Amino acid sequence: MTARELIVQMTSRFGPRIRSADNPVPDMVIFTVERDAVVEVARHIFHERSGRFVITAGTDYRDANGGYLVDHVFSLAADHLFVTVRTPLAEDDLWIESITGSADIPAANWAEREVQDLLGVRLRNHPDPRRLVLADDWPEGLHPLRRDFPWNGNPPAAEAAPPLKEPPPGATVVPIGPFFPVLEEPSYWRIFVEGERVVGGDYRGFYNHRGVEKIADSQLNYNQVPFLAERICGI
Amino acid sequence: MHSTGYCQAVEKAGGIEVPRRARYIRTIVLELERIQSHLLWLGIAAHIIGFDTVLMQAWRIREPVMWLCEKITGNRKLYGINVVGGVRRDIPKAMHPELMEVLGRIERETKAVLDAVVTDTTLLARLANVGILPNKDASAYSLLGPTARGSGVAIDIRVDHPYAAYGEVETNVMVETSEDIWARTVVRIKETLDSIRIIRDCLAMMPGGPLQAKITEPIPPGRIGQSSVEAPRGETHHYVITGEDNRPYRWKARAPTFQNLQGVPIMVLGETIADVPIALGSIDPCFSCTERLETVDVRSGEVKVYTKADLFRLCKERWSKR
Repeated sequence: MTARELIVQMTSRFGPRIRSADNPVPDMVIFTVERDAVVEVARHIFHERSGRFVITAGTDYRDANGGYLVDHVFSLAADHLFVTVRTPLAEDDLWIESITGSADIPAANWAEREVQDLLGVRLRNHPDPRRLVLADDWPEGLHPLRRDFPWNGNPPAAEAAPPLKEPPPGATVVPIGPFFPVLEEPSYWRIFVEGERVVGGDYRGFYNHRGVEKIADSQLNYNQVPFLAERICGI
Repeated sequence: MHSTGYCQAVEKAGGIEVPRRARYIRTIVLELERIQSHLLWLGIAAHIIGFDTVLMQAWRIREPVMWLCEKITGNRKLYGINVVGGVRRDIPKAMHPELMEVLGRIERETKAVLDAVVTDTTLLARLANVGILPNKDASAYSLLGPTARGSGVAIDIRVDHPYAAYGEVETNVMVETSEDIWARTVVRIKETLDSIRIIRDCLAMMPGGPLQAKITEPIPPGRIGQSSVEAPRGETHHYVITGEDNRPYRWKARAPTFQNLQGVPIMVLGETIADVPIALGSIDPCFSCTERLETVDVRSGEVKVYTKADLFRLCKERWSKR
């Protein structure tokens, strides 16, 4: 299927709830949708078209259009297309329905929480809306990827107990932390065990979050970013 | 990997046409990266389960690849070869014989390791039927790379969204269906051998021409571009909205581990504690590599290694001065 055919099919199915459809480069389609249509459109792409979830990118676009953008990106491998479901959000009404919970897309779990942490877009109906990227003692209401947050901002330390998951009744917690083989970076993984058997777990990571995206779009120019990008590692 | 993804995203947004020779060079460097990364992983995975002979052998085979990368790009790792619009260094004809010689050696030695590994009962006992990742979960969590391919999900960005020279060079998607750590191991070894073949093909087909596109106009703001690259661990995705002042307005980078780590709880469910490290290790996790720093003074030749403690102290001093 070509990008053109996809746009025709999607707009005839969802009608005016798809506000606009763009095809800026050959392998990319952007559907700008109403907020109340996100879940349905995402569900359709993921479950009925076997779209693979790629990322959720949130953007503080206030100085361009007065609001925020939340882009859910999917890949349609057979058609060699990236499909973006874009939702513009108003600054004073900053929430979105979670596609993890409401559209049954478990793959979006962390990506949505990342947007919630870094941009302050509240999630409705997310199965696990705890913080992901920000530390537990990071102050409320400060969101590092907003344009008005300085790239070298350094908030005061706060006191907060980390909200950790409870193990199932009868299970023991085995912490796999910085002192454990294969996991020597600052992340903390709790395994719930009954005897020797693993029955669950809870991951807390990103203690080394370096904020490279913020540095790139506020301090560096196009040709300096590749050298920073490489240092993400995560190859 | 990330620099290629980023550059491709900006090039798409700005409508910049990368010269063909540059695209071939990017492909060769990406495949060299895959070879050394998979061999590195094989060694570490063996180390996690206490089989250090494989670690020694895999890393011995890997070392000449690093030398080759240094020769081509100037660096063993973090190659710095990409700029928006092309690459910074050429792979001249004079370098081809050495490349071919090293590739031949790695291929022979990797095959020898493969033969030794597939018949080893210890490895099979530790890896087969352990860390099961069912096919439907790999899809539901949109897992990537060898992790997904070991569970029978046939995704590979090189084929799904061709970039650099992959549209012109044959690329095989290595899929295994046993859904366990063994499957992910086999996928990686097969891919290593396929990468060697891809580099040979690229060298044979490499066209002449410039290394960088001529960029005369500034990239207009408000454009959007995105690109995926099949890194050794899976897809890295880059998303760029162009901005003013010759810099991106928004740049979003997603490494494959971000997605793959979410699949680990499924792999370890019902397993014993002893299998947790290798299950986690089987996705080739990359949390970060910023623990140590080595500096070389090029004038005096003096080498200083900063430990984690040193870096921590330096950071504290720096922060306290603010």
